[in-house]
Amino acid sequence: MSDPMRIRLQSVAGVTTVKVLMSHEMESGQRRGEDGRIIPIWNIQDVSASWNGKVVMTAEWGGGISKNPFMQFAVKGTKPGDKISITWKDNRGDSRTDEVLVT
Amino acid sequence: MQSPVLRSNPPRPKRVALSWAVLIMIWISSLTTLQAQDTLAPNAKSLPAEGSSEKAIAEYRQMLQDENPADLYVLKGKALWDQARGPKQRALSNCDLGLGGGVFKGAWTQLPRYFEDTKSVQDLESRLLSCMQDIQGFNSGELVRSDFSNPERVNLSLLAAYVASESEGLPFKVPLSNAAELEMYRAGKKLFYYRAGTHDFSCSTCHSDDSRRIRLQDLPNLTTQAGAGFAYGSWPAYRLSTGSVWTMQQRLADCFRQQRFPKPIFASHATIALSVYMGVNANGAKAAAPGLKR
Amino acid sequence: MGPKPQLLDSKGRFMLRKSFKPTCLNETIKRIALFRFFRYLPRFPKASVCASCFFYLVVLSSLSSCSQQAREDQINLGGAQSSIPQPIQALIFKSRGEPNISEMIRDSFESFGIADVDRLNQDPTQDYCSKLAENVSAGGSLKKTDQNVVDSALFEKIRIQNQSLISFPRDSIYFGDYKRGESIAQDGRGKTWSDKADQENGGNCYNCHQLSKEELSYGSLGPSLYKYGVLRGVIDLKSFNELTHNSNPSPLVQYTWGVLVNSKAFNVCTVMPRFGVPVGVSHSEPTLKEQQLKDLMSLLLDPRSPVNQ
Repeated sequence: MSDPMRIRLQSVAGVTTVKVLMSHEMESGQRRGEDGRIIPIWNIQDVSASWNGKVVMTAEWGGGISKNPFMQFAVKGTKPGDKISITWKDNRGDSRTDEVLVT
Repeated sequence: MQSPVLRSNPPRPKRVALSWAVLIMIWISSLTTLQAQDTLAPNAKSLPAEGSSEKAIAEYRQMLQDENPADLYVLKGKALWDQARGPKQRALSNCDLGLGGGVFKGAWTQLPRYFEDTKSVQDLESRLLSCMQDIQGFNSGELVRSDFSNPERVNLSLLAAYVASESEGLPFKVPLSNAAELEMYRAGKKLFYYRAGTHDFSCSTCHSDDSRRIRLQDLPNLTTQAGAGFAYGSWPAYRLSTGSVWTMQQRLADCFRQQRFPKPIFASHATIALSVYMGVNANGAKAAAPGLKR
Repeated sequence: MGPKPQLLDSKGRFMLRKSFKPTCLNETIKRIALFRFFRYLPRFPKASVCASCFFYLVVLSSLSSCSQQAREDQINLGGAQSSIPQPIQALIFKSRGEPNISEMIRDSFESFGIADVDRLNQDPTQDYCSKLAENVSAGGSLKKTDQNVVDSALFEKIRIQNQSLISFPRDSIYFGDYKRGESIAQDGRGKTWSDKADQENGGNCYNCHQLSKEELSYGSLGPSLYKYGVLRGVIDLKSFNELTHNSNPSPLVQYTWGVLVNSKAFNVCTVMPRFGVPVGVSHSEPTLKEQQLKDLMSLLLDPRSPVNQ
């Protein structure tokens, strides 16, 4: 049961800047714990963003993205009432989707 | 019998009035000079940068201000506040932070303060600790003796982040309204200047002047309203280097570690006294917590 | 209806009112003797006015400290006054009772790792410098008007005591390897409760000083040491050999060694730690070993060192 994403939109003349803050540990698999053993990899692998159901952006993440990742992108041609939804999938098979409406 | 000197040499009213006027003008100008010493709090989230590398770092930090992962933790703290937890299975909803049971807005900016029920001056963390004990039945002694990685201590940081966020943008109003608070302020100030340990460090070694930095980390001047307002007002904060929210207690503990001091006890009088000193110095400056740190 | 209260005495001077409320302000005014001049106002008005102007600065400073006291004694600060509280200036009047924090410290700290609570017992240097820092004007710098809080005799005694602790290498060799010196200057580990007792500690020099040109991540707590040797005449190997091959250390060598070993012998209340002597009441091991100090000497003075490029 993962924590919700924070999605913030800024719309100026039909261009919406989407800012997403995701809550995830993003363990790189490089760190060692107190016992000296490697802490296993646990990170977001795929991210996709949809606008009114149509995929507008995909990303392949992995090691190198830090904990609680922040992502920002812009969508051109939005109208009030459009739905922006963000989905992430991690290497443990968990996934989460959150959506907001453009004002 | 009346004194002849008194009769024959009365004071000249005009010159007496002139001298009084001069004195009053001196008095008034000294007052205005004092008040003109107020400095505006700088942009609460960044200190002035100089040189190309510092400028680049300041720009990077400005970009980071956009989204603060602390907000995720504030939401967690809010959920914890209303959750029935602990041995007594009750929610913290009616915890009195100084403005009445369950009142958050403006509560953090008047902490630390004296509390009648505990007969002591308490900061945010110690007040939350006593609420967790009295309302929810947690064993505060155990929590004090454990360390910051203890799950309930982590929860305490989340609650602190939530309470502090409810005062974001409000000016500090830490009271000095009774003997206990005044005593803590003066003790905190003395401790601020207390040099000890293998390196002869005190808080003032690093934090008593403007434009100082360790490596490339700017050091706020805690003796001024601007510096104290920025520093005291931006903790609890999310630390990128640890990926976690730190409260002022945790920040102080790590300061003492780097000062080569022994370990401060969680929510002890010394730590609260320092918070009183910083908080009072910050009075008037706007709170910026939860902050974002490297 | 009784007689009117007398304003002037038999000599035509204003009478000092004995029934003053002993507030800070009135005490101050009495002590700076403004009133003494004012008493003569009826007889020498011009002189009295000149004298009051002369005391302007004195009044100003004492009034600012009075306001500080008044602020602290006020019932409710409530954010109404946003002036910065200034450190109490022990100029005109004595501060009213120093708070004793030794009990608070005892109850608030615990030993952890190698950091024992007895580290909080101050030695004379730490005690003197703490009080000095607390009592000088805001900004931490000593101004001329603060001279009376500096106990000159004690100051000198502490300086001499620190100087006597400086020991010189028995083999009369003051230099080592500047490359090792650079890594000692970069290393900030040692003496904290998360460090080990037997590890080799760092000098953490870049924390406070600029040293080599390449290292941009340097602090501003101490002066820049860039080109330390070059600026002091050690411009080539020939001049450096004169330093290293001399069995009697030159003043430059003695000074540099002395500051590294015990900075307080040269600047009693400097913020620079004492790296080569045991510090504190418990007389622990010095932070840096003799060989490490020699490596730092080379870092500073060797013309081939990155500091002098």
